[in-house]
Amino acid sequence: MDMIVCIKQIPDPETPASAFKVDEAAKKVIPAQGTQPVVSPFDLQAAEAALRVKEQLGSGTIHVLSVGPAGAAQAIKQVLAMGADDGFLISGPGLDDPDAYATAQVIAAAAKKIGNVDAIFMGRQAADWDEGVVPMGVAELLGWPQVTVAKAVTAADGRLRVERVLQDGFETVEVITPAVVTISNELGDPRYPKLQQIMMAGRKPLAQWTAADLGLDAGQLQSRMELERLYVPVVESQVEVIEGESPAEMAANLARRLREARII
Amino acid sequence: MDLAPKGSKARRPDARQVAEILGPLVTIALVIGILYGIGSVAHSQHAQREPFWGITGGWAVYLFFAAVVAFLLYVPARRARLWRLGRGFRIGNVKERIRNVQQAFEQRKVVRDAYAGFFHLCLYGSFIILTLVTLILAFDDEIIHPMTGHRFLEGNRYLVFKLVGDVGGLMGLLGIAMLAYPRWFRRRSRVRLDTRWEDHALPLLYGAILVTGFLAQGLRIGATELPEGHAAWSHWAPVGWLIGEALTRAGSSIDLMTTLHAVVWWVHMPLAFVLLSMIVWTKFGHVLLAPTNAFFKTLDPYGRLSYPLNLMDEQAVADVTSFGVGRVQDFTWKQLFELDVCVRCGRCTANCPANIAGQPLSPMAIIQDLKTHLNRVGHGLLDARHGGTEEPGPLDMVGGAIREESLWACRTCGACVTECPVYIEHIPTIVDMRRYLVLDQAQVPETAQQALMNIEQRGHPWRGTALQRTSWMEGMEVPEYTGEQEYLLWVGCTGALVDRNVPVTRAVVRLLREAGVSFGVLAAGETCNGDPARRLGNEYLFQVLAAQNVETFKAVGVRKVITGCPHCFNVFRNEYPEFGAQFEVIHHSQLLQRLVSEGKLQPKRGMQGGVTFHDSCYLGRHNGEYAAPREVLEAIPGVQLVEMPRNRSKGYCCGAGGGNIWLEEKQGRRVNHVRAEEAAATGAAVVATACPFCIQMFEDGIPAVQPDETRRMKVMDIAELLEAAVVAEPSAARQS
Ligand SMILES: Cc1cc2nc3c(=O)[nH]c(=O)nc-3n(C[C@H](O)[C@H](O)[C@H](O)COP(=O)(O)OP(=O)(O)OC[C@H]3O[C@@H](n4cnc5c(N)ncnc54)[C@H](O)[C@@H]3O)c2cc1C
Ligand code: SF4
Ligand code: SF4
Repeated sequence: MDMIVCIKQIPDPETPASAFKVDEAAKKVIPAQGTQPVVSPFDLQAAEAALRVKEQLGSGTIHVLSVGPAGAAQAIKQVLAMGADDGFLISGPGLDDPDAYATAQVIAAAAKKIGNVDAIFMGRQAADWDEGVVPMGVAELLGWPQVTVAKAVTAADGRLRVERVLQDGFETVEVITPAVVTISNELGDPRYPKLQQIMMAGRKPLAQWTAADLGLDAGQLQSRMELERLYVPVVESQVEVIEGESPAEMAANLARRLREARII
Repeated sequence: MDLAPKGSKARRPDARQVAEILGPLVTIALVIGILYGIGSVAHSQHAQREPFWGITGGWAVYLFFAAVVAFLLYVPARRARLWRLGRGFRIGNVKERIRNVQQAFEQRKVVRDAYAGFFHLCLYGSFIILTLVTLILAFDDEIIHPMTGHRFLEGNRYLVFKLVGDVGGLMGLLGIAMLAYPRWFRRRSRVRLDTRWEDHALPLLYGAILVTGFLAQGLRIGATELPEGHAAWSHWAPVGWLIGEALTRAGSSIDLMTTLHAVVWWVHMPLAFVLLSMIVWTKFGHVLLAPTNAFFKTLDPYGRLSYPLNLMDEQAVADVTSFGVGRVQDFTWKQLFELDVCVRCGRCTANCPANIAGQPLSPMAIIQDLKTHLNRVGHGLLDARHGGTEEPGPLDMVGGAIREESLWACRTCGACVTECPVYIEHIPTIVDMRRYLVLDQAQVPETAQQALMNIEQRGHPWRGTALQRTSWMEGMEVPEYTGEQEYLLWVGCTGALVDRNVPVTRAVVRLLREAGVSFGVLAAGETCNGDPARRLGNEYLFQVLAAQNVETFKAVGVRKVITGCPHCFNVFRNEYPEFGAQFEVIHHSQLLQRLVSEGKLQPKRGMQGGVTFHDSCYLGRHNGEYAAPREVLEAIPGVQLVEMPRNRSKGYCCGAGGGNIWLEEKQGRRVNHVRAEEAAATGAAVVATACPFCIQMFEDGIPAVQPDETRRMKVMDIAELLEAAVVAEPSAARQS
């Protein structure tokens, strides 16, 4: 089975809140000093899902694909070290910070160019903007079925059996290939790479394409979404210390206050 | 090891070392001299004994001897083939190594346990004395007498000889009794001693040899010296004399005693040779192997780990198929040789913090299980290596013969290595197998994996910290290091990113300012030094970080580094030089001690109550600094230093070492609770330490053992205590 894993390089979502700053005028996030971009966590789990399918079948190819700046090659290497076979970095004019629809077009075009693909694995949402719409766009553009928010994926007679996470439980669906599957954190931790694999990652093929290589022009990639305002909301909290002579009295006062505030 | 900061009490190693070496020699010489003197006043010029008295076929001794010698050569030669399955190992610096052998003969480590040390000295002394006595006798009988017609053992010399022999025999019996008592009767040891047949056989055999030796002597005296009126000679062999007297009084005839003597002698002699031959196939071999292992022992501080390959050199690792040690042949031959040296004394395990807390780790079992595994697969491997077709047996070493949870439970605290009387080095062996788990198998406990991935991605192990590298400086003017200042203050991940450790960092900065020390910090330019990665087995990550940091240091021209973290200290001092680092490193306890002794910091405000100091393994045992932090504490008016029973080189790990602060303790008690209990038991008001990890472990452990918050002891770094005594408005304001 030939699979593509789509990964996005994002600012570290675990940057301490105190270091998170935005440039309101430029409507951009200011990268926190000393932090490095990371692979969006769900995407590493998407890679893990693909690796498990490959292990289950005992054969198959996993391509890693990222749309973004040249630095995203580092992110691709990380997934190559986990065991993916080759990488595709699509960058160049218009692709440093594409919006969801542009990204979907690039991924769909790249999938066609790579050819012979049975499944695309993606994160349920990228942990920077949390939009979660790129996978839908890709499936729509390719005309493939898609299954979202998966916690387990196995191959079964040329199809994929996918366990989905629902609000109140799980459901298992079977989908014909080719298909798009998005992976949720319930899948479990991505694997820790073996040193041998880390060493090999540098020697695996990594193709660099531009939008033009995919037959896309700048007009197609223009953003359809406009960012109106970017700001960090001011969180205000009021603290009221409940007084009292004894713990019992304090508890009684607390209960009274909560009732006044209609909380209980 | 010269890391004593200027101004601390200077050590004079030379005089002491000389005294230690000369002392025992002078004592022995005196004893011999006195005995000789006493002997010479006795009227016994013709005292002597007849060789092989009453024995026919005594020459058989030499047959036995030849057979044993052949055996002694054959077995180790065969065994050495197994050792040589291992990789190469560099020796170098033979002079220092010979000094280590000398230390082994001086029993330096053996006596660290008073009881066992004493009985071992008895056995050791007894064995040496009796071996010499026997050799001298043989030499006299077979060489000196035939060649010169005279005997060396004649007159006074013979009498003294008798006495020395008897003393040796009695020492041996005392040693056996003391050895046997805990093992057979009282089961004194906390540790399951893993008793095997040889542990019974060896003392019983030696005991039998001594008893038959005394009996033969007694019978000979009863049959010859006493009836011949040489009782005065006999008194020089008091035990033999008593036996001879008793037998004579009981009415034994000379004939009977002569016959019995022959019988006893024919038991005694072969037994002695059996014992001798056991050198090569039982743990008795330690009499030769222990000094040999002392010769091969590392010349580095035990805190230093190393790896044979530069993993960043793609050429060098291109053909490497396996990383770390997953098979016996990946160990060095020294590590395999060591397995045969272990005498299963259990000292390593008895001092292992994980084992004491009931966790699934026994360093003794690691060594013994590896030995069993080597015995199981070794010959198959040899056959395969020599062209044989036989497949080497199952190779499930890590995860099979050695349980993974044992490898992860190790704190790399060094207690085992420090206590092992035969110089076995457990830490490199354990870490090598961890490396296999991490680098080769990618089998890392989840929490450790998160710490490692966090180091990779974020340059520090503290996942989810709300602090940034510079948060601790808030409201403080801290100069950036430019290369102009004398010192770089290395804050470290923990000192910057963990809430509890921030006040310590601030205290150090205030004290340095107060003392007018010229220093700067790298601020956001710091990154993990790689120590957690190395101890957790990710050697690759360590090497990448070490190379990167050495670059940073070189770029800013660092010459001297102060660090508050013993782990940073150890890695900079012992491991970075291999990566080209050329700077001095000093732990904050050493610098503070110096500033206090120079009067640049003057502790004025006193404090009430006792303080107990907990030695960090990586400052104390691994780097030998026990004095400086204690001297800092003692300089504070009112401080009464109380020691926990396990202190200094016998100190007990806080539980965090070897990356265990990022590992879950699933079995047994928690190591930090055990240690917190010991700290609480001193009744001190404060447990002080000089390590950010120890602080965290105590902050967690003390509340667990002292639930009553109002009477709970405080956990403080020595810098916090000193700051309170020196600086007008201390920042430590950590109210609980
Ligand atoms: C897409 C995304 C959105 C986030 N939104 C918020 C938010 O609204 N508020 C907030 O306080 N923090 C948010 N975070 C940060 C997240 O909560 C922290 O990463 C998390 O608190 C780390 O601690 P943990 O113990 O839960 O993580 P872990 O112990 O790593 O949790 C185990 C696994 O859970 C998964 N996981 C972790 N965090 C999330 C998450 N938020 N959603 C789904 N799976 C997860 C990961 O696969 C992880 O390996 C978000 C992170 C991500 C990636
Ligand atoms: S280093 Fe410490 S924790 Fe590890 S085995 Fe030795 S004594 Fe036990
Ligand atoms: S390794 Fe050393 S301390 Fe441990 S049991 Fe063996 S000989 Fe004793």
